Amino acid sequence: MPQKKDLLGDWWRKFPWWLVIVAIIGATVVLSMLTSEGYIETLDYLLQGVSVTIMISFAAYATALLIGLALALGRVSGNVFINNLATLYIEVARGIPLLVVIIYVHFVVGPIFGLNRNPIVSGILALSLGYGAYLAEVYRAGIESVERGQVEAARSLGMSYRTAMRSVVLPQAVRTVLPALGNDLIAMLKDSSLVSAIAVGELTKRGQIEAARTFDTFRTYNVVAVLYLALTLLSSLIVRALERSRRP
Amino acid sequence: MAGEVAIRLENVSKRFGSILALDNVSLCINPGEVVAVIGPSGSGKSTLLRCINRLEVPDSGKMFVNDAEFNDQKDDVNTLRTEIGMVFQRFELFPHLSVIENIRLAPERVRRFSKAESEQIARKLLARVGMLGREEASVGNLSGGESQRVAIARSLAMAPRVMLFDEPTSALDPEMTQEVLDVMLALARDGMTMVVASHEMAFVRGAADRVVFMDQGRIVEEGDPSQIFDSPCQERTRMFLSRILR
Repeated sequence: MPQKKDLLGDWWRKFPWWLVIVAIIGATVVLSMLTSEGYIETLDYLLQGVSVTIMISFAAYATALLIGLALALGRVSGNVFINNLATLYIEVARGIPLLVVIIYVHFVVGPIFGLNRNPIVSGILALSLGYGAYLAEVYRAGIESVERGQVEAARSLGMSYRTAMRSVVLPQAVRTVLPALGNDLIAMLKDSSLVSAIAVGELTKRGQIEAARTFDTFRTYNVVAVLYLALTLLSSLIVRALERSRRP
Repeated sequence: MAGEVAIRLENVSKRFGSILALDNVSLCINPGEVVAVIGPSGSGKSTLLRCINRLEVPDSGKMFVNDAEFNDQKDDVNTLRTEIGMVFQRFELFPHLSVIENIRLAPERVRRFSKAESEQIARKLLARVGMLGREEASVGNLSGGESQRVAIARSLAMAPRVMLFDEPTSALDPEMTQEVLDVMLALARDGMTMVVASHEMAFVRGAADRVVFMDQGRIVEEGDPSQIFDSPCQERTRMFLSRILR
């Protein structure tokens, strides 16, 4: 009966045990939270920050996906001017801490160009500018992983560079780097906490306010941490499902 | 079209670093003709083919397509390539697409054919290469021979007037070579203009109208298959053939 044994062994190996552990710990924490008056109050206040965090992260991520794609295409372009421009942007943006970019965009760039002083807009802009550079390098790695012969085959059929890129190279490149892109989505969720520095009322900022109000730092940041973890784990599961569905 | 020259190369040279891949090559390819290019590895067969559809741009020399000199303007290159199909040694099917999508892609994206039109074309061609019924198969699940037959269908979908074959059976198991050669033979009988770089001497002898022997970037000798194989004029040709035919 080796077949049955193998099947069981396979099942045993593939089961997401880590998720069970997370669920047990999560359930314990949530249970203790929900039975405590103070925790409920803190949770109630912080949950309003969660929606802001989600909104900022996804808006900035979506924008960064577009900026990154444009930069990556510039990076692999044969045009010297475009190529250098993209490289310059990527190196500069990657070399400045995200927190500094956020402060810079809100307090320096915004006023100079007379943009509105809404910190949420500044925050989304800064995060997408910074992450655009990271994502550009992810895309580029994907594009360069596609074999030269694929482009030649596409071009030999009469496709323009643009069509070959869009119909042949990018679909393969994106599939290859999907895990890395998912990774950066999770990183973005965490880094969105940096916009608390310009007084955006997202999860971390609300945590600071709540901690200052209640003087209960332990309780407040327990809730903050659990909420971030819930967000990132959820995204991680979504990314995994997406990866599986895109696999041929 | 009778008597009209499909493609003519005049004194074409191409250098890669210190290697002279093509050295002053002149060649005519007439409509309906099957020209086989033979020669040792590195003799310039691939480069010759790749210069014809401009995957490589020659350093010097001229190319005429139907007596009009070809200049390397961007639109011209794309148009030229729709008229000259190419089959690669390693197939280069698009792995993210199914068999039929591989064939439909270029007609839809380049010729702007509707889905119905491109599907009809694709099915017809799949039947021609003996792959009907495998439309939805994933490219990764095909054997080498099947892959190459799909690749041939993919090129034919653009209705090219000339087909280039760059060692189409070199990456195949011996068992699968014949199924690809059979498709090419049928294509030749249907009057397709073909330039074939190949080491399959039996095929060359049976299917080619003219054989071109290349060595070190130069055309050493060209002629009828029977003349080249049975009584080559050049010592170099004789040496190569005696080694390869054993």
